Amino acid sequence: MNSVIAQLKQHQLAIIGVIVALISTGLFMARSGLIDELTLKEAELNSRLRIINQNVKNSKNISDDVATLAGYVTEIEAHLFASDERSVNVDFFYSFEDRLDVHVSDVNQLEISGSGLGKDGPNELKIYSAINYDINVTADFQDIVEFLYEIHAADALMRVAGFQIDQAKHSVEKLSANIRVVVLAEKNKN
Amino acid sequence: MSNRQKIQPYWRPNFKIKSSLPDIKVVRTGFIVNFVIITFVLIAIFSLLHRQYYANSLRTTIDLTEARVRQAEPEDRLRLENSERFRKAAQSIEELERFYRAPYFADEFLINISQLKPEGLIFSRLSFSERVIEAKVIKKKTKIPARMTYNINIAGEVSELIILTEFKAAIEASPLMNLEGYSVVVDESIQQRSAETGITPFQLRISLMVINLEPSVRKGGQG
Repeated sequence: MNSVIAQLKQHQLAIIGVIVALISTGLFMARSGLIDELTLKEAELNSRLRIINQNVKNSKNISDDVATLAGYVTEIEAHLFASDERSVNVDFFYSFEDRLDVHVSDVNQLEISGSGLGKDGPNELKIYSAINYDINVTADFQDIVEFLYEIHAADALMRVAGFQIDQAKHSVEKLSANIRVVVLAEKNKN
Repeated sequence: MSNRQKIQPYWRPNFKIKSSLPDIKVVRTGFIVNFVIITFVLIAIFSLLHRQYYANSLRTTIDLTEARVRQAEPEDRLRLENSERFRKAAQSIEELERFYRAPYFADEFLINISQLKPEGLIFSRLSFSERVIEAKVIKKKTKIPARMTYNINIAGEVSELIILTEFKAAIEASPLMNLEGYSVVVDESIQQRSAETGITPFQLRISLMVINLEPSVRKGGQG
């Protein structure tokens, strides 16, 4: 025992050194978790900052673009058909008779659509809906073409989704056209 | 005397107590032990200080970054709100584009087809319709999405069959049948020629099928 104490006395510096080294190593190990935590936090903040910078880049002139698009949307919504206003809608098609030399014999508002605008269709509408009309028109070729043109040029948002043109039954000069028109309308609330 | 010399042992005891003898090595053991331990202590202290310094610099960086994020966040929130408004408005425009998606406007189609009609050919029926081909799942993994197909049916009469051949060739070569994103199939059928008039009734069936998918519009930021 005495010899061990003697040895220790002889190497005082070494013993103090070992104690200091052990304390340092202990502290070093204890702080390794803190470094990981800080590194993670720094990475998260950098990532957040990168996203913010990316957003700055991506949203260049976005206020102007939003204003422009909002203008278009207002314009679109001003021209939508209301599906519950059947008489107004049907009368819209009969009103072509006043402007063109056509006879509109029949206008039917249809419930079903075959134009792919419905649910799971390739052109599915989510914000708006579509109303289909089956219209029978009698006129000569030129006026039928003009009627089709007027459908596209109308203020309301509509297009011709199909047609069939045959010889009219009681006239040699006239043609009979069955036209399927699809009109962009307000989304049905129910 | 000679006998005493004979009992003299060949070895002699070593009475040296090594621990009490002075260390006379060129480099003393104590020095080596102290040197090694001091080196180790210095390494340990240096590592600890370095880690502490690194932690402090990380904290400073974090504080600075946090301040920058805090400063940028209100404007970023505004940008995200604008982005959301843009996305919603763009959806409306996209819907309008989808609504109008079709290979032709009906009036343009009629004008074009009537311009292609040669002398000696009469149309008796002209129709255009669109139809949805439902989505299909193949082998549980591959899904073919629903697609639109557009059918054009031209029925009529022709005085000579060569005119029908020319009309069909003209249709196939026209821009009407060469639309990007559509596959086109033109099929003809003829009925029996009238013995009295020499007129042959015919039917041309044209099918246009959508083959490509549209890219989506993206603009704005992420939250």
